[in-house]
Amino acid sequence: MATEQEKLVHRARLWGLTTIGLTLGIWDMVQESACTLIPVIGEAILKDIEKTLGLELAGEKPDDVLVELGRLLVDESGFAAETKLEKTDKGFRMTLINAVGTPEFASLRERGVEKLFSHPVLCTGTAALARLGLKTRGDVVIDPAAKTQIVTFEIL
Amino acid sequence: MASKIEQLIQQFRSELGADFISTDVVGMDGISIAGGSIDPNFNGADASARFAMVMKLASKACGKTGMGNVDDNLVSTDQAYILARYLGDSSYYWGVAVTRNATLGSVRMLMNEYADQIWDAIPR
Repeated sequence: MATEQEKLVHRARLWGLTTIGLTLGIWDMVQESACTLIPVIGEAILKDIEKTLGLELAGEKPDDVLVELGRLLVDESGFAAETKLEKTDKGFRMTLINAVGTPEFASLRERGVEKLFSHPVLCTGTAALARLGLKTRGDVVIDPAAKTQIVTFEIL
Repeated sequence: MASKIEQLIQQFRSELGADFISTDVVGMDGISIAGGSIDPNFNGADASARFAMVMKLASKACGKTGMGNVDDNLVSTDQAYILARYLGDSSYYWGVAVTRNATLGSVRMLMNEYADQIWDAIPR
């Protein structure tokens, strides 16, 4: 029988596999219109991290919100070893270094999922910017060799 | 100054007249790029996103069953008709909601007249 630590790992893997399956299935059914789920998923995550990790959005600037989101990802959830936020001419680019799930996201891409609509940072960032009144179109680029995930938010 | 696409939408609304409820030109990722409604409380962004999925499902269903390409998709409710059609290379769709008093054939004809112009006016 597995130890409690091993069970935690197995449970996390189970949820991860469920997410992968859902992503593939939804993409197969509705393709790019699956992006309509991005703010829905994001809002669910956002509500939770506001409560559990104390993220505050009211009155903040977009770049400050995304920087704080990055910090929470690294320090509180270990989603990435480091995050970098840059302003672009169209919005923002967040680079996640040594991020969790890079091979899995790369695999989703290889299996035809052109937009990683279930990516937690894409979803949460989109929802956070929406709360600040910004309509955005996001995307995720996966670099498995460099173990990085680059999330871009184009402000419309 | 209103963009070309917004001008076209306004012209379309004027021609449609009193039966008009709302309209949106929407990318297949569910983001509306132009449109409007007679009801200021109507959540066009939400409707646009949801109907993007409806359009995609309709296309998929027809494609998988060999029923041909979707011309338009009609949803009839007790309050309205919602007519949606693809534009150009199908990377956008155009949805129009009208009252139950509207003549659907006229709405379709008017949409056909404006479709190519709206497609050309989409910023790329």
